[in-house]
Parts: sequence; C-alpha cells; structure tokens
Amino acid sequence: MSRRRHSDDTGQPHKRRRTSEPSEIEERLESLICRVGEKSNSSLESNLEGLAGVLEADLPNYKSKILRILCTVARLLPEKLTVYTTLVGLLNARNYNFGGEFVEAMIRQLKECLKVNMYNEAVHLVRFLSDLVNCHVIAAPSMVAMFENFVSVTQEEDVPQVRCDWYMFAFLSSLPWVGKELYEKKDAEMDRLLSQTESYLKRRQKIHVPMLQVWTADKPHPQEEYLDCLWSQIQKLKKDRWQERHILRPYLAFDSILCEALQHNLPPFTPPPHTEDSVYPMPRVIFRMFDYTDDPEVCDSHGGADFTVRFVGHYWSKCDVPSPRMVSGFKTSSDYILVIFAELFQLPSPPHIEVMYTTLLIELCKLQPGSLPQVLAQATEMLYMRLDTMNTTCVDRNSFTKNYCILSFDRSDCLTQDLEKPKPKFVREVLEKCMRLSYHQRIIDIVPASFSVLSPANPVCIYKYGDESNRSLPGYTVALCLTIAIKNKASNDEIFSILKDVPNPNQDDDDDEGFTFNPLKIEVFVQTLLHLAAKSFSHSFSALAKFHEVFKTLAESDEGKLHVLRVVYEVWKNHPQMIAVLVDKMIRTQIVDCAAVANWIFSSELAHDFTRFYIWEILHSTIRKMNKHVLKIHKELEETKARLARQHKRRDSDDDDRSSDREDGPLEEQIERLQEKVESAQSEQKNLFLVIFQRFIMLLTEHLVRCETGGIDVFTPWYKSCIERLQQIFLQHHQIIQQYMVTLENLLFTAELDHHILAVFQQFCALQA
Amino acid sequence: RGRAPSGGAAGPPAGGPVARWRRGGCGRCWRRCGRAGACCHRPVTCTPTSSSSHPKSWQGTRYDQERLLRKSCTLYVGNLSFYTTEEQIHELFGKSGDIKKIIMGLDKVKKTACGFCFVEYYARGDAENAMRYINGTRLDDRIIRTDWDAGFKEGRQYGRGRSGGQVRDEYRQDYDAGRGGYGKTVQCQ
Repeated sequence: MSRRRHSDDTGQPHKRRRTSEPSEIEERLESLICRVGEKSNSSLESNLEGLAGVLEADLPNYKSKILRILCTVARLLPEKLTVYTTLVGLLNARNYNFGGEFVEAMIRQLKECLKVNMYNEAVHLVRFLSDLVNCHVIAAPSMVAMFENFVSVTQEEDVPQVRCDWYMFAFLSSLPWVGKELYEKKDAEMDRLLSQTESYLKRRQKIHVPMLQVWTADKPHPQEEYLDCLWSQIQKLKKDRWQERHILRPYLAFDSILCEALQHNLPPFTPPPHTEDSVYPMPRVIFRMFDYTDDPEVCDSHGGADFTVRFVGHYWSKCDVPSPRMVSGFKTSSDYILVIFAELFQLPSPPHIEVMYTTLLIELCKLQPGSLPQVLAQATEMLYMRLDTMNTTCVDRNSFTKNYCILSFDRSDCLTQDLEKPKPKFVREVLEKCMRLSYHQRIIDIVPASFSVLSPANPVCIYKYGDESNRSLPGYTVALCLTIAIKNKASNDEIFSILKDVPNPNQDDDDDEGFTFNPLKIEVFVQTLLHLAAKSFSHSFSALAKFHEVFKTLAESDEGKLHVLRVVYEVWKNHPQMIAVLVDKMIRTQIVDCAAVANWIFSSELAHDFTRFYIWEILHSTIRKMNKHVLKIHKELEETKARLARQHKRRDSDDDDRSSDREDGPLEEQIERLQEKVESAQSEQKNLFLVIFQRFIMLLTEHLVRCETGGIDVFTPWYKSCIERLQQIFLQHHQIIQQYMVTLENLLFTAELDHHILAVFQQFCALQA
Repeated sequence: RGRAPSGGAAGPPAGGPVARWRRGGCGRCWRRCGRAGACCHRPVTCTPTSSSSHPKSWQGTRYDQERLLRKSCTLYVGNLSFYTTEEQIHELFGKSGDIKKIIMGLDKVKKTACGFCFVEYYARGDAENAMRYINGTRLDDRIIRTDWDAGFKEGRQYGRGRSGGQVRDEYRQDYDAGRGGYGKTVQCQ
C-alpha cells in the first residue's frame, strides 16, 4: 500500500498503463526518430537499420504522423541532416510510395516556408532534398532542374538583390553535399549553372559590406562577404573534384541497399514570386580570427554556416554539447572557438542569446580542460590585440563575455594610451562589468595599483544637499524638510505642499498655474528621494512607486522629463547600473517617455559618458521597450478583431438576426480604441527613431565641421565609436526603420549631408535593395 | 512522520538523523531537508513539477501547482551567499532578459539576506533561458541553482528554518563562510 503511494508521489499524473494507446505510440515514434544519431551503445548504422524496420512496420497505421515528424526534423535538426536522409533512403528502398509521398510533403513544406519568410529553415530543406539524391530517393536530373530554377531568379527584373542572393545561397550551400553526384550525372548543365553564378556574383553590388564587418581593417585577415566566401569554397571543391571530407555520410554504408531503390523525380519547382511582404535574410560578412591558411577547409566551411548550425544549434536546442561523432570536421579547440566567436560577433545580433555562448564556453572548458582553456586564452589575447580595429558593438559583446579571462593578462600597454582609445576603454568596461557581478572593494583589491586609473568609480550616490557646507544652495532647507517628511511617511499631498515653497528660477516663464516646469522643484525632490532610497534597487523602485503622482506632475512637460533624467544622472553618475534600472522603471511607469530618454542621451550633460557602454545599453533597451509596446497593442488589436470575426461567424451560422448590431457594439468600440492606440504607438515609435537619427546627424556634423576647420583628421576614436553606433541602430532595427525610408530620405538623410554620414544611410539602403 | 523507509528506488535512502525527506525537483531523487547541494539531475531535463517550497504551505492542488509552474515567469534562486546583493543578481539574471522584480530572501528574525531570492521576468522565454544558461553558473564564486517557482506570495520571502534562516542552514554540518559559518544546530552545540 505505502509503496504504491510512494510511486505516485512523483507528482506526475499517473500515466503508466499496460495497453499501448495510439498517442503513446506516436510519442514513442517521435522520440525514436528524434534520438537517432545521438550518443548510443550501438553503431549509427545498426540504429538506422533498426529504426527503418520499426517505421516500415508502423507505416500502414501511422504514415501521416511519420511523414510529419520526418519533415519537421528535416527542417529543425540540420545538424543531423545526413542521418535523416539516410533513414528516408532506407524507407524509400523498402516502400517506394512512401518515398514519393515524403518528397511531395517536403516540397509543400518548402513552399510554405518561403511564403512566410522562414528562409533559414528553407535552406535546411533544400539541403535535405539535395542529399536525398545521394540516398537514391531523388533523381539527380530533377534536382539539377530545381537548381536551374533557383539560379534563374537572378534574371528576374525589379527584385531586391537579397532575393537573388538567397536562391544563390541555397544552391551553392547544397553543393558540398551533392555536387559530386550532380556533376557525375549532368556535368554540362552544372557547368552552365556555375558560370551563371559567377557572372551574377561579379555584378552584384556590395555597398552594405562595411556596415557588417567586425574589423575595420583587412589585415591580417580579409573579411569576405558571405557569398563571395562560399563561392571561393565551391570553386576549390570543384577543383578537388568534389572530394569533401567533413560531412558525415551514413548512407555510404548502405550503398548496396540504396542503389537498388527506385528514385523519384522532383516536381517542377517555381520559386514563389517576390511580394511586398517578402523579407529576405540579411547579407553577412565572414568572421575570421585565426590564420587563413592554417586550416582552410575547416575555416572556410564555416562560411557556409553548416558547422555553426550543427554545433551551436545543437547546444542551443538541447543545452548539451554534441558528441564528437556528430560533429565531424571539428578537429581542434580552435574550431570550436572560431565558430562560437563568429556567431557571437555577428552583426547586428548573434543568432542566439549572448549568455548562451558564455555558458557554452564554460561547458567546453570543462569537457576539454587540457586544451580549450589555453586556446580560449590565446583567442582572447588575439582579440585584445586587434581591439583598435574592432567594431564598437562587437567590442561591447566581447567585454560582456570576457570577465573571466581578462584579469590574468598583462594589459600594461593600455596604461600609456589616451583613455579614450579602444584598449584602455575596453579594460575599463570589463572592470566595470566585473564590479557589477561582485563589488567595488574586490576590484580594487584585485587590480594592481598602476591600473587604478582604469578602475571603476565607487558606486555611491551623490547627494547635493547632504553636506552642511552646501547650506547656501537654493532649496537646501526644503530638501531638509522633505527628508524629514518622507521619513515620517508623508503623503503625496504633504509633499506637494512642501514643494510649493520652492522658488522657480524661471520666474518670468511662470504663467501662474503652479505646476509649470520648475527645475529647482524637480531637483530638490528627486535628489532627496533618490538619496533616501539609495540602499538598493528595491528601495528606489518602492520610492518611485510611492511618489508616482508627484513624479508625474513634476515631469508633465517635456522639459520636466528631461530634467528628471538629468537629476537622476547627477545623483547616480558613479553607478551606471542604477541609472539604467531607474530609467527603465521610469519608462515603464510612464514618468518619462522614450523620446525624452533619447534626447537626454544626446544632451551635452552626457557628452562625457557618450562612448560608455551603459549609455548604449540604456538606449537600446529603450528602443526595445518601444518596439515591444507597439507589438503588444497590435497583437491586442488583432485578437479583438478575431473575436469579432468569430462572433460574426457564430451569428451567421445561427441565422439569428435579432439585436445583432447591438452585440457588435462594444467589440467594435474596443477595436476603434485599439486602432487609435496602435496608431499613436506607431507614431511615437517613428518619432523616437527620428529623434535618434536627428541627434546623431547633429553630433556627427559638428564633429566633421570642427575637424575640417581645424585641419585635423576626422577619424578619432570618438568618431569611429559614434559612426558604428549609428550603423548598429540601423542594423538592429532595420525592419522597423524600413517603414520610414521616405521620411528619412526627404527629411534627414538628404543630399546636402556630409558624405561620411550619408554613406551610412546608403549602406543601410543597400542591405535590402 | 518519523524515520523514512529504507532502500530501493521507490523509497528514500536510510540512515542519518531523524529528518524529513522529500522528492527532489526532478521527481527521481530524494533530498534530505537541510542538506546543502543541488539535485543530482540537471533541472533542465526535469519535468516542471518541482517546487522549492513544501506542499503543506501551498493552498492549491498538485495539478494547479503544475499548471502555475508551466506558465510561471518566476524563478527561485538558491545557494546564494548571504552577502550577494540585489545588484549582482540583477546583473547576472539580466543577461537572459528584462527583469520585472527581484525579491531577496530574508532571515525571519534578523531581516537580513539569508541566501535565496526570487527573480521574476516579464516574459516566460527569458526565464527559460535563465534556467538553461544561468542555472549552475557561478555568482560570488558559488554555484547557484535556479528552479521554477509558482509565484511569489507575501511571506515566502522569509526563511522557514527554526532560527529564522533557510531550513538547509539549520542542519548543515559543514562550514560555509558565505552562509554564516556552521549550521545552526552545530552552532548551538
């Protein structure tokens, strides 16, 4: 009795039944299929054979489920591509009809993916189909025909270059798998395709490349645009007669079985036409770190991104480092490091969340303690050496992950440099981040005395009315009063009455309503409150919540909002982390709005901190909040519209027209309100971007003019940082910014602008052109 | 309750002083209350039926609890040093997304930090990423552990040990400088 109760104590609903229900079998099938190719006691070949037998037996009853699972793994598990193509090959050999149905299902899935802009997954599908040629499922000539249709996209008129780029990429990146086979069967056609490819690549424009490069110098490693890189690999592969050594090919073991199988022809595939809603993947620049000639095959194949996908993608989806058996082609620790850094530094953003890469590096160090930590240390050193030419955004990402390694190296070279130069800056940012994860005294203890100039400031609050010596400051007495009142749990009304006594330095502008912009009032209140709540984030958040009404009233006008932000900075300039969380909270509680934050960031008070990482952390976070807000309201609107549609449908099917209009009323009203909300949110979003671009242009123009008149070189560290930050804004939010192209062209990025600034805009336009 | 049954996969291990036993977060291993150290199975692969709090203080049924855990955006974070601050936690856990709120765990008597906290995110996906990539990493040189939490309720910020801190610090035999030294029962000896 008690024993049974214990087994029920697992907390799971009791599922174990003796009889096998259909849903259980389906789950089992899914699990079997997903797990094949992973760590196992038996060989991959015997697992595949066994699984093929099991699936063949289940085909009569579970065919559609099996089809669906296989299509899904083809799309989502590219790291096991050849495992699954072999499986499909074996199934096709046993059941010809199934093979045909699978191919049709894949084509349908491919069309769907292209229709909904899932281009990365579409590439996986194309590669899968091409590898099916190797497994004798698809006839080579029909695959060549499909590729011919892909390449002919480059002949289309009035389509964006990125569209042609994608089809070219899908074709070229499948060749490492199937080039050999296709050449054997249809060499004349393939030659024609490759020469068409070459002429397309020669004529395509590459204005966008500077925006996407991690390094601004081409020494020691040239940074190739991704299609160029892939093309040179394919050419090399062709020269080697398609002898490819990295791809795992389980089907070779089954050659005798597979060559007996009958092949299917791919149905003729017409690429879906370009529409206004089509959003193609952005171009990329290939990241290189180690010597080009060291291991060209491994390094080069990263250009095709297949190893990246295979290795990093597996970790991301399973949170488990893949077995070496699966990752053929990875020979050394530097391979792992290169792949990880290539993804981490990708512009505009890494494919996966940044923290994943740090954790992955830690796991790898644990798995390969003899080699990986040293290679990682060397790589870190290498990256540090090349900091001067590294894109600012990548430098930030680098410091994000470098907390661990940085302190063990000799960085004394940066002490002799001007503090604004990349290397000293980098060390400062890293030390600041280390402090955030620990505490100030610890950093002081660790960092040698000679480096103290780079150490972060002690994150204490600066209370202007704290010292007796500041008695003479205007508002000092009110500040004292306020302190006592707040400590005695005064209400908002009491606070207001205390603040009434604060004189307004803008007396002339005062139109006697009592709540116009009074910078001194704001200063006294915000300084005092933040000082009292300085103990922790939670204390400060409580303070903001408790006195929300006061804040809203004082910060009603635009100048009010700006001044609140200024005072926050004055109080907490030693504690950037606190500034960031306070600004975040104030936006979320609508004390300030996003545009105010943008204006504040570009204001002269912050000029000194303008190149520091925390400023951009705040700006990007602000833009993100704005974007999320717009999406959220949009979603609400869509949901309400859907509810209305369902209501109509129900009514139509009920055929009951009494009081139908009355029922619609509230929903329609809600939709109208939401529509207005969406429009106002979108306009606020557009305004935010316009403010940001405008301020960038003003700042950069000032600098350029000053340099010209002074006869100094434009390319100061500040300028490099500023231009790259502007590029990052464009890149990171390119989809949203695309909507504003007309306004940007006509209002901001006009022909009169300095060509340095205009170039950035042109690079951006070239991205999706 | 008394002594737990001995041996076998169905029952918790025998031996040790009279103590309460409970299923670990994965539902497979047994943990003795007060023993330091994380579950032997990686929490990510565990089904989300765990709760770091004992069921007896929980009002809902087990099914409700499971449902809350599946939708939760809140994580329990354990094995923190008493000296770890909210700022450090914010910096670390902010890496997986925007944090809505952090509630520090407090000693019920002293009202000081006692080595755990709750982190609530705005989005479930951000909490999942924290479970994947931040769970098991170091903070203040200690391996921290995260677990799904059904949601903060007033009162849950206090340790439930008899002395005011966490239960695990009551019976702990080892010396842990970051958690007040020896366990409370050892200190009282």
